[in-house]
Amino acid sequence: MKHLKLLALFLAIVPFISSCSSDDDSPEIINEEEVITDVTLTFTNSTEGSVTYTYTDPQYRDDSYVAPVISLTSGETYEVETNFYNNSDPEDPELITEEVEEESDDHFLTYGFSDVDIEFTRTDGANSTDSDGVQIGLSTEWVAGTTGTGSVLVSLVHQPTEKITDPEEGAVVGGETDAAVTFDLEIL
Amino acid sequence: MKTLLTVIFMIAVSVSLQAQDCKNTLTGKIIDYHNGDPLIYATIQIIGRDVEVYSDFDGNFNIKNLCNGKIELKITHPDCQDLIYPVLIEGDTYENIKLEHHLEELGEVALSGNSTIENSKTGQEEVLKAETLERYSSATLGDALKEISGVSSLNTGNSVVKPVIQGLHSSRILMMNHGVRMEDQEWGAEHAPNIDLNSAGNITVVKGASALQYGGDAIGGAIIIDPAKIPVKDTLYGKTILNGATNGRGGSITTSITKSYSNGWFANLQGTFKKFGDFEAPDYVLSNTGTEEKDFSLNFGINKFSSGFNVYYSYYNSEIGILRSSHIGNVSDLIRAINSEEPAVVNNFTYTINAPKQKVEHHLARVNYYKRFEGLGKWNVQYDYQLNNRLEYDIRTGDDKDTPSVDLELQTHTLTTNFKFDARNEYKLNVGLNGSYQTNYPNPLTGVRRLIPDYDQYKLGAFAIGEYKLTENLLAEAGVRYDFTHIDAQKYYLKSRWEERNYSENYSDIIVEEFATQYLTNPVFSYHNVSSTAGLSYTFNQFKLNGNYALANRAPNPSELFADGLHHSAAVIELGDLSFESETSHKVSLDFSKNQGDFTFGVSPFYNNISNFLLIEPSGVETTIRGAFPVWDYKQTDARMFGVDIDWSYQINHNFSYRGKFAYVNGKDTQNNRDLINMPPANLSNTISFQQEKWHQLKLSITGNYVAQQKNYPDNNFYYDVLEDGVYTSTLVDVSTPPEDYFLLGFEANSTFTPFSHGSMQVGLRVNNLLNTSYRDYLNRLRYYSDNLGRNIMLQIKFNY
Repeated sequence: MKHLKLLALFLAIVPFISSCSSDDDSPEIINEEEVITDVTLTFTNSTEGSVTYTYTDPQYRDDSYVAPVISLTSGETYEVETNFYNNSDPEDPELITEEVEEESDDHFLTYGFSDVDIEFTRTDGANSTDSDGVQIGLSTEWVAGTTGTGSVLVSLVHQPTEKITDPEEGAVVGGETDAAVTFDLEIL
Repeated sequence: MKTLLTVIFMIAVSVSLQAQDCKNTLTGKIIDYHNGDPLIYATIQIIGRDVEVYSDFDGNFNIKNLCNGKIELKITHPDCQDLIYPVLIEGDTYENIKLEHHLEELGEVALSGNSTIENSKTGQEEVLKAETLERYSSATLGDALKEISGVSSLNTGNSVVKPVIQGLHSSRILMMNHGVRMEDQEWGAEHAPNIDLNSAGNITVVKGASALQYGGDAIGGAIIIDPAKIPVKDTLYGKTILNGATNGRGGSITTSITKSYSNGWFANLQGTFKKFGDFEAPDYVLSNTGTEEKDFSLNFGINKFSSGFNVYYSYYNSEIGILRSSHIGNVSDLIRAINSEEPAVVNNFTYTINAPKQKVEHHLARVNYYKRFEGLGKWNVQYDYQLNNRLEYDIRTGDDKDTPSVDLELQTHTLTTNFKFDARNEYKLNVGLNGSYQTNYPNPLTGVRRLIPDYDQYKLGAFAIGEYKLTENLLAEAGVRYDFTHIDAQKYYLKSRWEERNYSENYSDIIVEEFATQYLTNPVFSYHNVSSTAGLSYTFNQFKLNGNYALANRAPNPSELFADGLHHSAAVIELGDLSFESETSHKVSLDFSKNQGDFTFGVSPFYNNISNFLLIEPSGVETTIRGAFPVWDYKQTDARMFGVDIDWSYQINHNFSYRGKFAYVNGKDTQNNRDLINMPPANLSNTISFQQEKWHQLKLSITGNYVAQQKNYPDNNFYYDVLEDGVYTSTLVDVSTPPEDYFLLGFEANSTFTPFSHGSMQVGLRVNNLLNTSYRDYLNRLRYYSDNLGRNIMLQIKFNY
């Protein structure tokens, strides 16, 4: 009987202790921290000035979103800056490109052109060149060739086991894709 | 005959009695406390005097010629604990003396809490004993359970091993660990049971839902882990097992020490440490597959026949590396992985565990009290508390590098009580109630949207199970159980997902608050489920035939209701649905066995019909900024499964023996006439053993294990446009075709030595995958990325002291 009393006491106390810690507040909202919601390509040309094209993740598009179509002029040369943003929390937009630059050893961009004639070179400066001297592809130069329509697939790869820069458009072995977006592209 | 014996007794009594002045007579009856039955041949001695009598067939005895005053009797009986019983003699005296019966059972009764009988008398049930479990000391629970025919495993690599019973797993399997229902987020396919195998004395597997006392939702079956029996006597003993393995270049140590007293008190302390580095396939290192595990448990209490209590606490801590190459980005990465012979990342061997990895902690505490009521049965009450914390680390960048992507804390309180009426031999009845409260807290600091939302869950269950001995050979069993489940969740949905799921039509009323891109919702669901079982068991000569029907209902789990997110290891988006109802299973099983003689066998066919079966299958491709991902939707359909498990063994002669087992299961989605995904392929295992007691109990055995290719699988393959040399090519993504069949050879040698004056030492050598065969397994989630383990040579030394 003595055991029973001890047990009853224990049973009475334990749920009490644990129930003190619970609260009924709403859980706080989580806005994804390292998700990439937007990829932008900014084209700068001495005659046409600067144009930015933005691809937004389907989960974060609003009704005004129109799929971007890059328009280039045949024979022109463009300096292209690629940027990545996290706009999952509209109050606090975040430029992911800085992180990519800081961890240039872990990142690499590839550009896959389909049905368009572009002469492509990597022009990265020290900020976006990794410790092995590989230009990771945030800054590039595009020379538009013959007229036509096609597309470009821009990929950001995290921790590839091998970064291949021949051809300049780039390829990887291993790693996982952090971003892979297709822009339609026309050369007029 | 009876009178003759009585006469002999009386003669014995009168001869042994000394002539005394006093003329009082003590008459009495020795009875079994347990059921009131008279105890025959109990010895009754008067302490300090040379007087000894025996009880007769009715338990009666008498001692003549006693003086008034106090005497002390010592009563002994082969089946019982000795009893010192003081008696005050005042004239002729009568005493009823109750003896605590069934000493052997006592250890089991007190420790396993509510199980003296088999868990299901008419269902399919198999037991793994300590000696088998010890062989797997350095491996996982799931590996050991595969010894049982019909039990396979769903793996994520080789360290996350989930048991599969006759094709069913996860929430459909109930695990009782030391009398406590495990709540360790078992819903996830890559969540292995958080149990240290070395804390188990024996493990029972009930195939199917017939063990209703534990729960009504065990559509797949129940795994019951009981501690080793502790004898009720003054003793101190221990056991230490050391393991070393070449594959993984690691090992384990486990120790257990037990102290017990003849007055019922006992204490047991047990601990395990395991450490492995990267495991290796025949041709390459499986980078980042190391593991580390630290466990201990403490058990103490008092273990008397009439009452007792028990306090048990166990702690489990494991860190498991997940194959680096399995962490991929999108469909293109998946195609590359599938088409590549070797994993993309193969580094040199290391003990370091990096992301992706899992870190899991599980605390389990239980307090149990029982009291036996004379001639009626046993009452049991138990409170238990569990705290499970699961951290999953993905490969992340920047400031979040060391932050887990999943951080879930699951707490469960359970109160259980049952009364087992077991005083009568013809029938037994077990009735019980249990209630539990569970709360899940996903830590928002992960910075990743919650995989499983915040929720509170209340459960209430009531059951009654009875068995009745119709004749000496025929036993009937029946049970019924009611379960109430209430879940109250708080979940954020992305607005895009909310629309895509069409929730705005039926669930707009559960939106609590609107944010820029998300809704906060409050889904509340209640489920009422009734489960039942009925069966017969017939024994004749050396044969036994069991037949059982079980109706089980399972409420959808939080993952099935709420999942919405990306799973990196499979590169899939998993989507649950709020509209799911409970699953209902009707299962009929037979078990025909012969357990005596040189030739033994067991044949166990079953048929399981499950309506509202919840399964997860690909439903299309979703494009995100990371590229395309296959979407796996949970859906509800009707299914049927049938199969058979067969075991057999033959003692060829004194030295050689042979045993084999075979299992087959076939599952179909009857609504869509499709094969069910992830059904274990047919498998056959044969073992030949040689035994020679004279040579330090040497035992050698060779096992051949054949696993067929699964031919019945749903085709979920799809095509995806891959950019190659400036051209998009439609490429087949083969996620469905099961790997080819394989055959593995194993070898084992064991011997026992007694180098010390006290205790013994056992040495065992084991080789898995002797031929270093390269193979992949259909039920391994990492089969797209790498081969399974190559040859593994393990040495085990066990000390008993």
